[in-house]
Amino acid sequence: MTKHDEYLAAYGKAELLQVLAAPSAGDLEERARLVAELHNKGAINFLGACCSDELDALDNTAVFRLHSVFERALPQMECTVEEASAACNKLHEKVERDHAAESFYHTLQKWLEQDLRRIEEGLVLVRARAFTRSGTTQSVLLAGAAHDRERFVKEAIELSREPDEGIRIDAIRSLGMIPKEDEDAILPLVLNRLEEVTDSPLSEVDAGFATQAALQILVRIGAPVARQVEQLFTKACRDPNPATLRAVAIGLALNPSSFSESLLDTAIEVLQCVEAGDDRSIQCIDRALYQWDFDGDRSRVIALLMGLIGRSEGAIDLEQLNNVKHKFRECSGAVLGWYIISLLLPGNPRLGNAASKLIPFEGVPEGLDIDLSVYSLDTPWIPYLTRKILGYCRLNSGTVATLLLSCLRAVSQQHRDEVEDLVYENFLLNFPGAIEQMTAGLGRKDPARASVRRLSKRIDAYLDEIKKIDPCDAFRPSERNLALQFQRQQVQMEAAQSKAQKESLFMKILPTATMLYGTRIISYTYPSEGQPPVRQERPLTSHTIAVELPRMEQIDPVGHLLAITRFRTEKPPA
Amino acid sequence: MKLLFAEYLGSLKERDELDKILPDLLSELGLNVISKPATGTRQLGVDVAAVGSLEDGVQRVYLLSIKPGILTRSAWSNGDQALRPSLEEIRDGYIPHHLPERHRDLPIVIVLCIGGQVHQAVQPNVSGYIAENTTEGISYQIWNGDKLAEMLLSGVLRENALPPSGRSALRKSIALVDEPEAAFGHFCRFATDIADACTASGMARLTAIRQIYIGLWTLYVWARDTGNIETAYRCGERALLLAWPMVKDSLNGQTRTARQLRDCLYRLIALHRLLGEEFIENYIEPTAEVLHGLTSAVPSGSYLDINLKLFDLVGRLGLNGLWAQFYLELPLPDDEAKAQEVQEHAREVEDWLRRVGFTLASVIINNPALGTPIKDSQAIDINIACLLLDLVGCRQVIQDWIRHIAGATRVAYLANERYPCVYDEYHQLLSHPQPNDDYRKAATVGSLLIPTLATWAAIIGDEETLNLLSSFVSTHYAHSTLQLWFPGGDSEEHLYRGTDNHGLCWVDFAMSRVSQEVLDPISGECVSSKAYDSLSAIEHGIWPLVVLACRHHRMPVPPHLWPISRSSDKEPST
Repeated sequence: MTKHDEYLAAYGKAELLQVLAAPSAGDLEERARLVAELHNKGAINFLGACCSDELDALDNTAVFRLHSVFERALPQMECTVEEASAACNKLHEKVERDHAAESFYHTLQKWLEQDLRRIEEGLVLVRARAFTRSGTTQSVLLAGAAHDRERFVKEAIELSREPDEGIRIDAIRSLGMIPKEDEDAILPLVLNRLEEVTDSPLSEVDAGFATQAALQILVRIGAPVARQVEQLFTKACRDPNPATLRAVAIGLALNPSSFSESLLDTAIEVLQCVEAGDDRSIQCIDRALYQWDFDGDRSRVIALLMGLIGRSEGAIDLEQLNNVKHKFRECSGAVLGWYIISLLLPGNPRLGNAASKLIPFEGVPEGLDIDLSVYSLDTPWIPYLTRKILGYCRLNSGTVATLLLSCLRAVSQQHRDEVEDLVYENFLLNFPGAIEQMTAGLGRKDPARASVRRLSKRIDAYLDEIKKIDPCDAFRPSERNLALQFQRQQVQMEAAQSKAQKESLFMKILPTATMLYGTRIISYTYPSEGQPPVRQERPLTSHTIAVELPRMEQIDPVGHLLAITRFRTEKPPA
Repeated sequence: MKLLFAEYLGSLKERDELDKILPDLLSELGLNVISKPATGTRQLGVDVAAVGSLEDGVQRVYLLSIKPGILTRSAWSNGDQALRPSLEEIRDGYIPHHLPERHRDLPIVIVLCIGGQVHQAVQPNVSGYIAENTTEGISYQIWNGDKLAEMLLSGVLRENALPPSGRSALRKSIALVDEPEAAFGHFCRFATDIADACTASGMARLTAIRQIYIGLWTLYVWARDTGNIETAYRCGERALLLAWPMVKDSLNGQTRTARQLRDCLYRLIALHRLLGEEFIENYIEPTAEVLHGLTSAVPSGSYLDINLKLFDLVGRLGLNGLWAQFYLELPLPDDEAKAQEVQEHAREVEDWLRRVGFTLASVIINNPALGTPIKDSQAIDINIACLLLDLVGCRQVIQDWIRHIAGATRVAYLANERYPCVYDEYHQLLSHPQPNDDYRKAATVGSLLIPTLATWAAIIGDEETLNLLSSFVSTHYAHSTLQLWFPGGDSEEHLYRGTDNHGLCWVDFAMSRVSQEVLDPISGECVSSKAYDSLSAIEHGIWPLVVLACRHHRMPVPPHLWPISRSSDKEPST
């Protein structure tokens, strides 16, 4: 069967889109040519198919493969702007959440640009509100601007007053994309309009998009518009709404280098107002922060983090900032230590919790035993900081040992005994093996050496006593109780395994196979179209994460909790 | 069974062991015991003397010289404690000068009473001695372990004197002595069956108590050999509580049977105390001074097991100390020599009282899990422990402990982490706590612990703790019925045997920040609640029996025992 016949047959069975989007459907250009030809002959209605239920059968990957055909076929097709826009809208709608979805409108814009008549036709449709809440308006305006910038800026300004929000926002966004540096006549018009929108937006969203458009102009034109954009930005940030915050965050994420120092300060200040439930803005902030230099921009990063995480109402959780957490994992020990201490010092429980989440599960980053003298702490602050470290940083004993070593180096003679007691009672009794890490972490002429020696003697004496104690048979739990305990552990392990599987990224992205027999596994991978599958034979592997639990969790968990609670709730020294 | 008893008898020591059970053994065989072992007085070789007929109906005087274990050459003739010199003392000293006049005409049998066997090497010497010294009026018999076991089985533990399941239950409890839960169950069946089958006659009750006593001794010796007397300790408590109802009505009687019953009771109390002391000396004291010492001796990785065992142990320590105090309160005998003996012993008891009190204090200080009860009913153990601490003047320990428990209870409850709950069953405690608030309220629907803590804080005058508790109760714990328990009219029937719920629940506990406002209503209720004074153990002055019953059957200790003034005629015993 020829491709021609295949497409016709598929169209007859309402499977044309599936056939075109199949990975092994053959040469793209040829496919697009044939589709356009059949469409122009009336043998198939490709654009109509794109608007039908047929699209529902395709997943996102297939839709993007279909887009490859669509963008090549559209310029060869004879169709109205309405048909092309409708198809484009449908395809966009299908993959709306994907960052690459905008490419559909880019295709439409390029197609419109090819013929001014199409732009005029499109403008008529926009004015008639044929396609509200779509990117058609922007495509028409940007395509038009490619021919006549001044006219289409005015059109955009006009449309930015349109009652329909979709059209209005598209027009505002377009205003940020049209001006160029050398267009003296256009730029003031655009900036004035954006300022008007900022001053009296018809909706919250308008203000956000006006800010976004202004920032886009700043990125594209730079210094000549910096002062005006900054004024507009400052105005927008005075009483920011979520859309504005999102616009600021997006601007910061995409083009941080175009922000001046003062703009950056304003941005950081305003971003701290983001609400905990505003996931989209938080994601943008997360992406923006990821771009930053966590070492060089310490003060700004910590200011933003403290503002976001530490406030009493609507604070966000560090868990919401995935990229930031990832970035911290790449930081050097010195930088990480600085952030941990900085988050602990204010005595804010939310910041303390965030600090605890920065502690890596395994290993001790090099240089984590930072010099606390940079914080210029008065004497009572070191015991206070020690308690905060003990209260919040508990997962990785090696890391905690290193941080505590910093405290032992910095503590004054007056408070040394107090800090030693804290370290012994609340850390070494929990993780007796950590004394070895502390000892290994000592440098030559280390100011903590004497303390570590004393602590070592104390914990050794304690362990010697404990080792002498044999389990007493008379205290043994009954067999029945042991059996009950075993059963419960089994149930808990099964529940934990099931939960871990449900939440596992691997389990989500990889197919699952349950082996009943054998010690190796055979599987096939399919590298690319037309190539034979590759056979793979792999041994079984296992992944383990081990966390040492504090001894007190077994001996006296509530007392342990009590101590932690006391440390966590302690207020900073006056 | 005979082998079992022979083994048991072979393990008995002379002082306080073999010579303590022999009078019962002889009495049950129909002999009239005319002299019992006494420490400090000259025995002239005779440990036990009895008159009666054992075999052929002929009345004889039996003079027993007791040696534990195997009779070796040195035990036969070396030193003052050897058997041969004792036999000579009997022949030369006791018979001519100390044998009561009325028995002088009777044939005399000098009994070489040996817990184990006569060693082969010394057999000729013994036989030669007997042959040489046998006269018309004086004959010799050897009662070794086998003979004594036979006498036990045909005497006190004879088939028709025991309920049908008696021997089997005792045998099972001995066989499972290393499994305290199971062994305790079998012993309870053995002892309860005897108590239930016992008729009202004095002799029947005497036999029943002797059977329980011998059974307990047998169990104890076997347990001691396995190095774990946990079973014996628990059985000792139950034995005493089962014996009390059989003895209480005869305590003031002047008949021989009444005297024997009284004697049996005191021997059971002594055995119970001995078990307690041995338990403390062997299992608790060695680790009491070590931080986390007792905690580390519990052979379990589960916090729950550690917690349950530690509170159980402080209850045992407290109870044992209270028995020592009871001993010190006993009136001195009229007989001057006996009074002097009692006074000398009292000094030892006083030392022990202080020792066990300070051990308790050390255990509390060194095992922080004791600051975080998991069961509301652990208030019973806390209370008993505080009674002892108060007796030995450790009020600061009480204050710190109570304050710690109060604080920990509050934090644990607020954090929903292993707070004290009303549940007692192990499986319930394993799944405690649960995340939902309904469960938390149900698990704390009533509380004995909070009133107990508050009362002790009030007794100590620690208004800071009262303040903490008051504020916690009013803010978070208002749903819980704070309560104390008072004995009622039905308590006498059920208290000792734990047969049913009984007594009165006092729900008008006044949670106040002022000590006197807490204590006054309790004092008032103690005066109003007359049933306490009518409890037979209280009437007879054996108040630790009430504490024992409360600890054993997990009932609250009556507030009458608290060191608070009662405006009635009777002051609290402590």
